[in-house]
Parts: sequence; C-alpha cells; structure tokens
Amino acid sequence: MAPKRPRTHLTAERIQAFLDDALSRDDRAEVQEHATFCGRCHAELEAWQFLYSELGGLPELSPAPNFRDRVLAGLDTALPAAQAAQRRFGWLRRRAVRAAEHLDPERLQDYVEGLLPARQMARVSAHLEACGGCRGEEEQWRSLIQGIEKLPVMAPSRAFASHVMGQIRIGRRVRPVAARTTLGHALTRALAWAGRLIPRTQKAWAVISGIALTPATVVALLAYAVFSNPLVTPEGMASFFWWRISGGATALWGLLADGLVESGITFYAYSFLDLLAGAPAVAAMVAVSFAAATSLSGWVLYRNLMTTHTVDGNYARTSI
Amino acid sequence: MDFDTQTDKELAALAAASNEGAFAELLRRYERPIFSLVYRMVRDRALAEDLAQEAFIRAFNAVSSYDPRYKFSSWIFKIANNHTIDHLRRRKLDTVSIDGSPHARTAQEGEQTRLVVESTDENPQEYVEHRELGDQIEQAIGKLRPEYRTAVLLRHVEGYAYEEISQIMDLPLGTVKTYLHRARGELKKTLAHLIS
Repeated sequence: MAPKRPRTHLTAERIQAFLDDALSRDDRAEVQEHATFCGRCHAELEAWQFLYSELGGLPELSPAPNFRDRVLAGLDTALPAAQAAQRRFGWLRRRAVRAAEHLDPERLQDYVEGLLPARQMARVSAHLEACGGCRGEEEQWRSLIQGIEKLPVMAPSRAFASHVMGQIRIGRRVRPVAARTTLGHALTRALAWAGRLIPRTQKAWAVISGIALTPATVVALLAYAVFSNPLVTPEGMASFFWWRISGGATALWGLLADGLVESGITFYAYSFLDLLAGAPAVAAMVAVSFAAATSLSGWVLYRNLMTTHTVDGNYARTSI
Repeated sequence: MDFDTQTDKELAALAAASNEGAFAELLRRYERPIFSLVYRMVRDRALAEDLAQEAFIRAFNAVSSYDPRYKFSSWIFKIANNHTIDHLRRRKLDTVSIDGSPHARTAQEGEQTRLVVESTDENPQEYVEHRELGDQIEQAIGKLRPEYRTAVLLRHVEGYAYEEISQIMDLPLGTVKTYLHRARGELKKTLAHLIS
C-alpha cells in the first residue's frame, strides 16, 4: 500500500518548532515523514536548517546609541507588534547571543585543567576555534598554570631529618616519657599563650607602662606625704617595722609550738619509734620500703628530667 | 626490611607499631613536599624548617590515630597546613615577602632568608629567565590569602586532585573550586604583564 500523501504543507512555525526540538514525539515523527515525501517541505526544512547553522556563528551586534530611546518612545503603540516579534524571533536572538558570548574565566580554567565533561570540552574547543579573544584568554590561563607547575620543590637543610627523628617518641611503653612530653607540651603552650600577651605596638607599650606605673606613683606620693612630716624619719620607721615583724614572728612561733604539742603528733611519733625499737623485723621492713620508694621516685625523676634521646648518625635510638 | 617498596599505609602501620625505619622512610618521602609547602606559605627558611619539623613531630607522635581509609599524604599535608595557617593567623602574616624573611632586621638577613631556586638542566640564560619568572610567580602567590595560597600550591605544585585538596583543607569541593578559580584570577591579574 502506498504511503498516505499529506494534504497540507508544513508551516514555517511547525518547521521551526521541529528544529527547536519543541514538538512531541508523534508530531516530530509526522514532520519527518511529511518532509520525506513532500519535496517542497523538504526543501523548506533544509533552508531553515541552513539558516539555523549560519545564525549560530553570528557575533553580537550593538544597536545605535539612541536605539533604546527610540524603542521606549514608540513603546505604547508598538508593544503588541514587538511582543509578536519577540514570540516569533526570540529563539533567533537567543541563539545568536549564546554563540557570541565569550567563555567565562571559570569555564576556561576548567577547560585548561581538563575538568569538563567530554561534551562540554568539545563545545569549548569549537568556540575557541571560532573566537580569537577566548583563545587568547585560554593561552594566558595555560601559561599561568604551566608557570606555577614549573616552580621547584624546595629541600630543607640536611639536619632536618635528624632533628625530627630526634624528637619523635619511638616505643611508648615507658609511661614517664609520655608524661614528660605532655608536661613539655603544656609548658610550650603556656609560653606561647604568654607570648601573645606581649604588646606589639608602641601605643600598647605606652598603655601597659602607664598601668604599671600607676601603683608605683601612688606609693611614691604616699611615701612623700609620710616622710615630709618632720617627726617621721627613715630610722624611726625601720625600728617600728622591725619591732612589729619580730613581735609577729614570735607570736606565730609560739602558736605553732603550742599547736604541735597539743595535737598529739609528738605522742604518736614517740609511740611509733618505741614500737620499732621493740620489733626489729618491722623496723627493717619499714626501712626497706622507704629505700625502695626513694629509689623508685629517683628513677622516675631521672627518666623524666635527665635522659634525652641520643641522636646518632641514623636518627634516634629506640627507648623501650 | 625493605621500606622502599612499602606503601604509605603499610609504613604508617609499621610506624604505629614503633618501627623506626618506617618513620625514617615516611620522613624521606614527605620532607621535601611538606617543607616546600610550608616554605612557600611563610617564605622564611628557618621558620619553615621549625614549622615543618613541628608538623612532622605532631604527625609521627600521633600516627596511631591515622585512619587508613584516607591517603597518608592527605593526612600529613593537612597537619602541616593547619599548623602553618595557625602560625600565620597568630602572627597575622597574611602575605609574605619574596625578598626574604618578614622578620629579617637587616638587608643581609633578608638576603640569607631569600628564596633560593636551585639550577636545573637549563642553560644559564634560560635559567635566569625562568628564575625571574619563577620569582614573580612566587611573589604573586605570596600575596594571595593563605587559603588561596594553599589551594594553588597543592593543586599546581604538588599536583593533588580537587577531592584530596578538599580533604586536606577540610573544605567542601565547591569551595576548593571557588578558591582555585579566584586565586588563579588574582594571579592572572598580577602577572598580566608576563603572560599576555
């Protein structure tokens, strides 16, 4: 059976909608079928396709300087016609503007770095072939990135590795070493924190000096006020303070001695010594325990305060 | 034991078990890249050595906390970068000088702490030209914000992928991309006379 012959030709709007991919699947199939069998519509479709491809490469043009004023002046009467034109030819303008726009810097950087998907890479390549301005930009980005990539890798001094290896903890089974490092770390942090309190500007130093001098100035003024009285002499003041301090110290000592006697500590100490004298085995055990505790504490102090990692030719020794 | 053939993760596991050779091998692998990054961040050789040294000591003393699901390089770069950024923030040194240490008090000290680029296989003229170009690029990088500087150095000097930079800097991927776009934009503007 021969295919059904179309009764009417394709309209210009229908062909444009077809090229803009704005038709449903059925309508699209219908247009394709029609164009296959209708020579006139086929020729029309090819003409529109050619126009589309040509418009894609058009540069963006600027209107005359008074163009905007003229449009706005005729807006009231021309509006319906302008809207119709917009509807009819909007796609043409959008395509022309899209083709004439330059690539933005981010897109160009991503292109140079090869980060775009394949399809976008192809699009950008096509644009670069056609657009000299963007090609120049792309070369600049490429040159910049290559310049950075050529920067050399820097090497630290020869002693660097041994300094690092000399300070790392290799084998942490010795607890006191960890304690020492924690203490050292806390001290370093405290010093760093204290360092931040040091003024760094002249103004800050002036303020700090003013604050620091205020009490000294007050004391100096008070001393001046006191010693300006003819009855008050430095010798007299010294004798007075000595009398007060020695009296206070004597009273304090008496208080402590009374407290010691009355608390019963002396009695308990005497009883303990009496017990040790009566039982030599207990006395020996106490002596040994005391010696062991002293040795242990001495060893802990030695490990924490005296020993350091020995650095030889091949980094630190293992301290287990 | 032949440490050369071990992966970073294997070495990290050995280091966590107190193997001194593993520490030494990890240090050998990373001392140059870490030092380069820190040096370009602070532009002071002595200070860079101190900061890089502290970063390594911190990392090695905490190697048992390293999570092998992530790359070791990302982990150690993260520690070094955070340590350097903290230092810059404390000192408020947002930009660095190509001409030597910002702490240099005399011209001689400045010259001593100046960036030194070692010669390559180039002939003397090429070397001088590249050195001048490199100096200007270094100077432009030194003027970037510390975060931009880190991103550019990690991407284009160390050659890290965006995802790794995102892990190192602890930032979303989109932010890293934005940082890099902006940083390169600033560099392009600063170096326009060289690359146009």
